Formats: sequence, structure tokens, C-alpha cells
Amino acid sequence: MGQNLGLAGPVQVNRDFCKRCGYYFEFCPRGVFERPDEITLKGVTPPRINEWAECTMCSLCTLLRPDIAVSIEV
Amino acid sequence: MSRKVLTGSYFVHGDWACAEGALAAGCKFYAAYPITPASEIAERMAVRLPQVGGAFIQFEDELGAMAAVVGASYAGKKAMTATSGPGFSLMQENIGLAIMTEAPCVVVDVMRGAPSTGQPTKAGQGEMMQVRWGSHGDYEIISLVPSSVQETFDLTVEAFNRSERYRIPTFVMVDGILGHMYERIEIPEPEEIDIVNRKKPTQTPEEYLPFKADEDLIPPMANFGDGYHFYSTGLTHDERGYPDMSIEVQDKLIRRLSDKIRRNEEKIIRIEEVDVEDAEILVVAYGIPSRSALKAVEQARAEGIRAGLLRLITAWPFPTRILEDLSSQLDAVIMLEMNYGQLVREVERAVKPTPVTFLPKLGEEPHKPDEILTAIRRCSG
Amino acid sequence: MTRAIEEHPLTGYLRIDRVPHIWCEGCGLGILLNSFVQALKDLEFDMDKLVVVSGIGCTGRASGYIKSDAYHTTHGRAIAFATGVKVANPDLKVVVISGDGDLFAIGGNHFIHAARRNIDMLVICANNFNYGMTGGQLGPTTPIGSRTQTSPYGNIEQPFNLSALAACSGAVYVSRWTTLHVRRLTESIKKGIHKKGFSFIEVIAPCSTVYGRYNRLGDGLDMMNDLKEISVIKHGIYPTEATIEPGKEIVVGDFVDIEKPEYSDMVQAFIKEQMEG
Ligand SMILES: Cc1ncc(C[n+]2csc(CCOP(=O)(O)OP(=O)(O)O)c2C)c(N)n1
Ligand code: SF4
Ligand code: SF4
Ligand SMILES: [Mg+2]
Repeated sequence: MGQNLGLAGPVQVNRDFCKRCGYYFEFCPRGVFERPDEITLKGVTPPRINEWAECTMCSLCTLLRPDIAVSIEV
Repeated sequence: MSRKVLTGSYFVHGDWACAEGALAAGCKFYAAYPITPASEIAERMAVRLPQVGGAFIQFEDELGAMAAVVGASYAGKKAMTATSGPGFSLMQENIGLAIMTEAPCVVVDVMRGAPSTGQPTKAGQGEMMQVRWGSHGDYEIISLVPSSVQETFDLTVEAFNRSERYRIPTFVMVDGILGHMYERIEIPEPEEIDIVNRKKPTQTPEEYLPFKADEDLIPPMANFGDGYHFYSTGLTHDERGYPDMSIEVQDKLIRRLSDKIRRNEEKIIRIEEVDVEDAEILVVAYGIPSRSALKAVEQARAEGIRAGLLRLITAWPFPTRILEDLSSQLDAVIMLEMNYGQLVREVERAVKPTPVTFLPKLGEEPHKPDEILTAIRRCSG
Repeated sequence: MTRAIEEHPLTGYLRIDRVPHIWCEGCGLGILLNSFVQALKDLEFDMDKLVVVSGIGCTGRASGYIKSDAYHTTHGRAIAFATGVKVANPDLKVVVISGDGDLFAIGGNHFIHAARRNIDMLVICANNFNYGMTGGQLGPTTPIGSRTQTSPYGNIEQPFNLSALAACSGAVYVSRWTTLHVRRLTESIKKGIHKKGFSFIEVIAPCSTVYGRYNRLGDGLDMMNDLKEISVIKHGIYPTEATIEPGKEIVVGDFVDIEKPEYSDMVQAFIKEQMEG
């Protein structure tokens, strides 16, 4: 069901669902993501990763993803 | 004694008979907003439903009452509402919802006449076209028109059975006179009353497609809470119940919703014929006026006039074919209605080119046998 | 390198075969959906016992994405339909998810009467200050001065404070959150699901495509950032005091949590009494 962007860390983005809201990288409490500066991959905007090590797996990003595109792979 | 579904002989009015008919059919939910001359149905249901394990709720308006009836039907209960003209108008959108989402339910309209508030305490047959076409879009419905208190009981049972069988709202069109009129009725033993229940799915929840029809064009219906986890919408939907805005899905669904009735017309349509076989003059009537019509036809026969009566028991689907077949033997048709011309148009269409005399009646009084007889004589002379 | 997603973690709760959903880029409604589904998952709620009902509108599409029994009624009639379901089968939990216009303009009568009856039902309203689905017209919550398609010179009608209306009509549980407060919202939804009686949760959700555009509020992200700035949490205050002035201050929190006899229980009680008596 859909293709993941294949980010290196635990957070995965399903590019078939993503509509580029940008919420999850804006509101991550640990600043794991950085706002991307270009649109790629069929309109999907993959975040630039600052530091996966910062991620506490709090899962806020999966709640703030209106397009159901973000999930955490444990 | 009055705890369960009743049996035996009772001297009661039409609204009472309607309520008891519903209970005999297994009705377990009633929602309505009070309105004359239908309030007595609500009042009877408020007393009786809890005694048979059902729930009564007085709603804040008829829009909500009709929506609640659809909800209760989806929750697996046989559900009914009753109203009169103004309330019937308010129900139309959600009657369409019941049609589109194939919710079995019964709507009783104790008819009065005139647009707007009209004459609240008087009888009429004002909603005979509204019941057919009142909601928007293309559809078919079933509507029944009793002409006695006994028949009000019988046809209310029948309405539930048909709504369950065809997954369609079914209407009982009582008029204000019948609703308030007292007659003796016989309620059979429960085992003698035929009861039809909706077809349940035989598939597993994983296989179940809520709007995939069987051969008979009717999809089996799971109830909420049965574990089928299905979605239903008033939007045009595919067999999964999912919205689909394509031409193909619209075409298929709308045709099926009508065809499930059209294809079964012969089974659904019921009429009563008196002296029709060799009739040259046919009186067509339904509801209360058909009782005067019967008298008039009997008198005409006594005078040697070959008159007959065709009484509608189902108003919709309309018995067009039956009238078409009769038309070649007829010299004249007389149509009676307590309105200013509704079903008469259907009659005219069916019997063409036979001339149709229309006898309208506005305001309480039904036709008198004498005036019908005069019309018969005029046609035969 | 891309990896296929084997099974979405919310497969049991969402109709994943219907995703991507119809909502616009940057629309807040998806967050509300997440939050609701997360609450179900946290509660391990028995999906056989849940019925989700919606009216018409962008928010009204929510019921179609939840993998329980669900129904999409006519405009304004979700609560009336849900009342029928609950009274007919009191074992079911009914949740209504719908928009501000659906629940408070065309359907307002059913809202106040369901609250008055205190029928067991959770009503979640996405308040986006306008009619999103029909292209952004004036609604019963549009703030004074806001521009919509049908208030081109600025709205001159006083808006409803929905949480206050719910409390005054008799709701036993009332809370308000924005889509930004997704964790607290999830907690409130859990409470609302468990609460016996008429519960109401107002969710302030950005409608970026129409309301945001006409009022020059930027994209969804800007609107979310704005919510972050102006929202103030005040638990326990009576909602008539809970300001709701978009662009200035929005008070959020758990406002009402009281006990009252519940309607469908009482119906069942006298059915029992009548059947035995
Ligand atoms: C009887 C009726 N009138 C009008 C409409 C058109 N209509 C569809 S949705 C809607 C407004 C929805 O607004 P809201 O409930 O706030 O939902 P949103 O789209 O903002 O989530 C209207 C007026 C309709 N579907 N039915
Ligand atoms: S799980 Fe929490 S910390 Fe990790 S990326 Fe998501 S929001 Fe940031
Ligand atoms: S119109 Fe507004 S409410 Fe509707 S989906 Fe788009 S952003 Fe969301
Ligand atoms: Mg809205």
C-alpha cells in the first residue's frame, strides 16, 4: 500500500498519500526535521533531516500528519 | 392484557389500527412530531411500544424524525413515523436518504388537503403525487391506500413487509376521515399474520459488499453492530458503499433503485375489482371515497347500467397496465379523488382515448353515492 | 531507495483503501481524523460497537474513512440519525463528526435538543469558520469582519460560541481544542467516548484553501502557527467565558464535565418496567 520515501530513521513518509502540508516537520518538538527548500517526487516534499538521534519517538509527527502519510516504524 | 401484540375484536379508529398494525408487524421504533390528524398514532405508540419492548421518541421536528427512523432501521429495528401534509413536506429530503441508502421503513401520512397549513382538522387526499415525486431525483416507492379501519391495520402490516422485502420506504396513505373513524376490526392470532424480515448477508464481513445486489436487485442488509463495519452514504456509491461520481456508477445505481420495484410491479400492485368483467363504465377510486363509489356502482347495476369499480389498494406503483388492458371495453371512466386532480392524470394516461370524468372533492366531505350515480347515469345515457 | 509499506499501523481503524483522502493540502481535518483514530486505538475500542455518523461538508467525509459501521446522512441530520441509532440499539457508541455549518446552521435544532435530552453521543465539530465544501461561504461561526464568498464586505453577523451553546443546552462534557493540540484533543476524545451522556468537542481546524485564502491567512502551516500563538489553555472555565476570536485569542481546554441521567438508559428502564409490569 504505497511507497515509503525510505528515510534513514524511524519516521517514514508514504509518498502516495502525502500532500505536502509540512506540519510534521514544523512542529516536531526535537527539531528533527528541517523545512525543505524544493519540491520533488510527485509533489511530495521530503524533509531534510537534522538529526535522527534527536528523535524520541514521541509520535507527535504521526498525529499531526493530516494526510495519514507519516508513520513510525519501530 | 394489553402487554403484547393484540388479538381479537376491537371497536377502534384508523390511527389506532395503524399503530397496532405496526406492532403486529414487529415495529420497535417510532419517531414523530405531533400533527393532526396523525397525533393519535403517536399517542398510541407512546403507550404501546414500551410494552412490546420498543422505543418511542417525540422529535423536535419532522426532518429529524425521518432521519431518526432511517438511523433506527440501520440499527436493525423495524421503524415507523406518521405525519400529515406539512410534516410530510419536511420529511421529503430524508425519505430520499432512505431510498438512496435502501433503508426499510414505513411512513404513514394521514392526509389533509391544501398547500401550507390548510384545514388541519379536515380530511383530504392531497399528497398522492407528493408521495410519488416529493423527494428529488429518480426513484420508485410503494404506497398503500386503505379504505377501512380493518384495512388500515392490514396494510400497515403489509407496508412493513414490503419495506423489508424491497429495502424501500413504504407509505400508508390514510386520510383524515379514516384516521378518526371508528369501526370494528379483527386482529388475527400472531401466527396467522405473515411477517417478512430483511434479507441478511450470508457472506463474512470481509467478503460483504453492502450494496452488491442479488439476482432480485436487492442487496442483503447487515445491521449496525453486526460486525460488518460498512459505510453507507447518500452520495452515489458503488457496491462497497463508497462514493463514486462516475457516469457508470450513477447509471447502474439509479436504474437498480427503480428497477427493483418496476420489475416486481406485478407482485406489488394490488387492486380490488367489483363488477369490472363486463363493465362499460368504470369508477376508479381509493380510500374513503371508494366506499361511496361501491354504493353507487351497486345502484347503477340495479338500474341495469354496466358499471364497475376499480379500487386502488396500492397507489404506487400505479396499475397503468391493468387500466390499459381494460380501456378497450370501456365507454367511460369516472375518477373520484378528495383533491383537485392528482391520480386522475395517471388514469387518463392509461385509458386513453376513453373519456374520463373527474369528480373532485375539496374539504372534509367525501363524495355522496348519489352524485357518483348521477355521473354514472350521465355517462351511460 | 523506497520501501513498500506492508501494513499501515492504523489499518484496523481506517479505510486505508480510501486514502489519499479528499481533503486539501494543508487542511486540518486529517489531523482530527488521526486524533480520533488514535483515541480508538489507545482505548482498544471494540469496533463492532462503534457507529460514526456525519452530515454533509468537508468534515462530513470523515465517517467514510473510519473502519466501523458508518453513515453519511443528509446536510444537518447527523445527530437526528444518530439519535435513531442509539435509541434503537443502546449497546452501540455513536459518534457524530461534522462541520460547524452542518451541526449549527441547518442542523442546529437537533444539536440543542440532543444536548437537552442528554442522549449518550459524542459530537465532534470541526469549526473552520466557514462552509468549506461549498467554496467558502458565511457560516454560523464566521467571525465579525471576516470575508467569505457571501460576506464580501466583511461579516456583520454575530457568531456562535459553540462550546458555550453546548454547555447551555445541557451537554455533560464540553471541550475545545485546535488541531495543533492534537495530543490533548486525543485525550479529550477518549474522555468523550467514555463519558455517558451528550458530549461535545469543538476542534478549531484550519481551512487553508478557502477561509485562509479569502482572509489572507497564508497556507495551512501559517494558520497552524497562528493557532499556536493565540491559543490559551484554561481548564474548567465556563465556556461562555472562553473567548473565541480568531486572529486574537482562542481559549481552549476541558470546560465542562458533569453527571446527569442519560436518555437511552431511561428509555430502556421504562421499557423493562412496562414489559414486566
Ligand atoms: C439541504 C442542503 N443544503 C445545502 C447543501 C450544500 N452544502 C453542502 S456542505 C455545506 C456546508 C458545509 O459546511 P460545514 O458543515 O461547516 O462543513 P465544512 O465543509 O466547512 O467542513 C452546504 C451548504 C446541501 N448539501 N444540502
Ligand atoms: S517522533 Fe517525535 S521527535 Fe521523532 S520526529 Fe516525530 S515528532 Fe519529532
Ligand atoms: S475546502 Fe477547506 S475544509 Fe475543505 S478540504 Fe479544503 S481546506 Fe479542508
Ligand atoms: Mg465549516
